[in-house]
Amino acid sequence: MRRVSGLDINRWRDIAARDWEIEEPDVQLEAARIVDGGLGTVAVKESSGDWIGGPQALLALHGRGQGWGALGNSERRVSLAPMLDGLRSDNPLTVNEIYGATVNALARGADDVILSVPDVQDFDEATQFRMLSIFHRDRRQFRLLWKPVAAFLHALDCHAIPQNADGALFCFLIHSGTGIELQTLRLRRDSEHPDHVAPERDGYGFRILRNLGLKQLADRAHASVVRANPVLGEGFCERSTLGLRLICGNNGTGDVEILRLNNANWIEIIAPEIAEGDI
Amino acid sequence: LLHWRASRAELIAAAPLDFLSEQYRGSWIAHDNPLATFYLPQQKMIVEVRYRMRKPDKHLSDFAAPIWIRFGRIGDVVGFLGNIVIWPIWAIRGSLIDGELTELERVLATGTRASIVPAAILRPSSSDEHCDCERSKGALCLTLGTQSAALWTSLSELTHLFTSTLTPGDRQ
Repeated sequence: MRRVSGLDINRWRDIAARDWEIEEPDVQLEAARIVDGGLGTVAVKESSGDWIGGPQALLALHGRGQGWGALGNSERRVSLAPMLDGLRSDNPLTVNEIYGATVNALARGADDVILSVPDVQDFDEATQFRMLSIFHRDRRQFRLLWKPVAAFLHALDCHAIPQNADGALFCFLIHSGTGIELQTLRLRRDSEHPDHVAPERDGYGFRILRNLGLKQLADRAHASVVRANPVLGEGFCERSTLGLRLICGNNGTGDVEILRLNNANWIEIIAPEIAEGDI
Repeated sequence: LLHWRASRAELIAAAPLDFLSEQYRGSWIAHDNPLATFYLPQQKMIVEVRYRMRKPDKHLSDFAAPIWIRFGRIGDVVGFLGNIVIWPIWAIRGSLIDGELTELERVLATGTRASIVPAAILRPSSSDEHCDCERSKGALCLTLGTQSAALWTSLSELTHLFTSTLTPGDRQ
């Protein structure tokens, strides 16, 4: 059995899905196993020089500020958020290593890896090629899959699409860092194989509602956290991650976050209530 | 040891673990330090666990101890309260060694700059039914089993050792 892992590394909330377990790689599971990659993807550099990605990196002390000693040096922690922008730029050197570390963390044990990618104009064929070329020497097989197509296939698989919908249009809205990605796909029945249906795609989708991107929402939530805890604005401690955690529902109002001050002591931060007007 | 009050502890930070293909000096993992930092909400305290430090502080390295644990209070300006130092020692024959507690006290007296609050030597127990324990102020020699009374009695001895380093207000 080829062990396939499907990844959504969107740098905000990463997810991996597979139908096998690391412990029993040859048993196919009935329901997909979802691996939570955590919020706000980062990669960290260990003292061995290796980059680590995924949930272990998020939890690491590396790069979290001088309160954590030499390992707290901010050069040891890189956010993946500007990373995909790096893919589009001319500076893909460390980008490859960091993206690779994240893929390795989430696709451990896989033979085949499917990377889901945005179906919008600025993730064009040149960018797709650059993403695949990161792994050109990898023994695993890598494929790209457009996110709306992945969602469509899932909808077909779980019978969310009615039987007689041949020719109907389906609209997919995918929340991303810089807005909402909108794509419309048509359901087509294969004339030679009546049992087979597939999405028909007519060019790239669009990015709409740019002011509702996860980056903007997280930034505004973070500003609310700083307003409620003015000590954060003084730059004496590691960065709070409550903003993103609040808008993703991982934390609620009144929750406590422990942060390390630059002098190695600790303080307590309280999550404020975030009203609609705040974000 | 991480088990101590773990049910009520929150993980603040943990070093990524590298699983080695061969053991290195008895360990199958490699990592940076601190290995883990926990928050105890009830006590409002931080517990930091350091294991096999590669370059320990000069005051600590003379003790050649693999495990260093320290506590810190949230919102306190004094930082950490002092070190708990632990030597886990494997021996084929379980049980305590005569005179080890006295020796441990003598060693601790030579290095006061390491600010060691209590120190413990752990050895395997000779049976699963009971653990041996010798204790003085600030030092503990203890045998630890893998199950039954030898495990649970030992863990409560360790809990006692740790909580005895806290002020009454911290224990609650």
